[in-house]
Amino acid sequence: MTPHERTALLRLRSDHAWLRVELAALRVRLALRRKYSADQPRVPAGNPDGGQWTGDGGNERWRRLADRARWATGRGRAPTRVRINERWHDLTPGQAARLQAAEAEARDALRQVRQRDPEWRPSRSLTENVEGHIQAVQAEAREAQARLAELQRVGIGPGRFAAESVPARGPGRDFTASERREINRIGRETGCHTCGTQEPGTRSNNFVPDHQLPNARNIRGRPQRLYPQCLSCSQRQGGWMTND
Amino acid sequence: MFVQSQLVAVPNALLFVRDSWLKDRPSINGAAFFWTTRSCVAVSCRPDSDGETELTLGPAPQVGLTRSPSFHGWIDTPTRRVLVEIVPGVIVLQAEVSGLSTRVQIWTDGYRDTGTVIVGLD
Repeated sequence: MTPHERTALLRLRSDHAWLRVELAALRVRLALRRKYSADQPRVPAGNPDGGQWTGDGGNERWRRLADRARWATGRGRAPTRVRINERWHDLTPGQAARLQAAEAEARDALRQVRQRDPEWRPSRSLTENVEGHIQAVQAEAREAQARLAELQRVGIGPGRFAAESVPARGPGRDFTASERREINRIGRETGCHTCGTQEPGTRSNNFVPDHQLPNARNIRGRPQRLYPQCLSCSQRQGGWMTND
Repeated sequence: MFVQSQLVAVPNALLFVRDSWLKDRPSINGAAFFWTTRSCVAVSCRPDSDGETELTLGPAPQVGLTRSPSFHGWIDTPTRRVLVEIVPGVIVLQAEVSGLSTRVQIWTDGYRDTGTVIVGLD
């Protein structure tokens, strides 16, 4: 799934959650119109006041209605409060749905960025209210998506045209003849993993075996794979890593 | 300054000729032979996977070829020391120069994946 498709899917989920919020709000309005709520606690039968409404009717009723709304929006998982600057703020159902969608989008984008650039962090914003907080989370998602696009463009992480790859024996650049043949085969079939060209740009007509993650980025020493890369993309990648 | 030569396997097919302190490296678009800033020249050369590049650094009158250089320009050298480095920041050769600005001439074999890079300094 491409980043754009992933974003579109998250937006659809957000719209779906919003519709469920609308439905829950409608049910709440209908419930409030009723003189009595069937869910309001009554004194059990057998008591002198048996059948009478009881309990802290007002607050209890709001809590139950809020529970119904929560259930309708996310089966109990939608947040009703958010902590901003050491203070708790209540969320409307709409805000809860939007915040949940924004957080999911930001988490997904950040996860993809961290796979390629483990040390990257989005900019932090100071907010004072719920709407500001939601906008800040949305901004983090956009920033992470922009970083992801940049990393893919310069060849950090398997590129858009990545298909097959060869397991790397290590970070060393002493490739065997078999590895070179395999990289060239993959490159001739599917092109440079970053730009897709099937012309390596070298006089030898060899593709450059590209470690992913690049050695300079693989600070945790995770297993790497080799992808075919053209001369231009290899240089673009090296220049970007030097300047980053 | 004296003549130095070395065979180097160059990662990402990029060499940087720059002042020892300034790190203003150019943005590499992968579509040229050279890229420059005021204090750095980046050179396209043979990728390490295809073998080593023969690198020479020295006074231009001593190392220069009779034909015209592939690159001719000036870089700022406030530290009066020029480095030749590879990705990621490994220094391969270095030389002392006399001025705050140094003329750089570079001879190659004419290809983007050149296996020969001669850097002459004035």
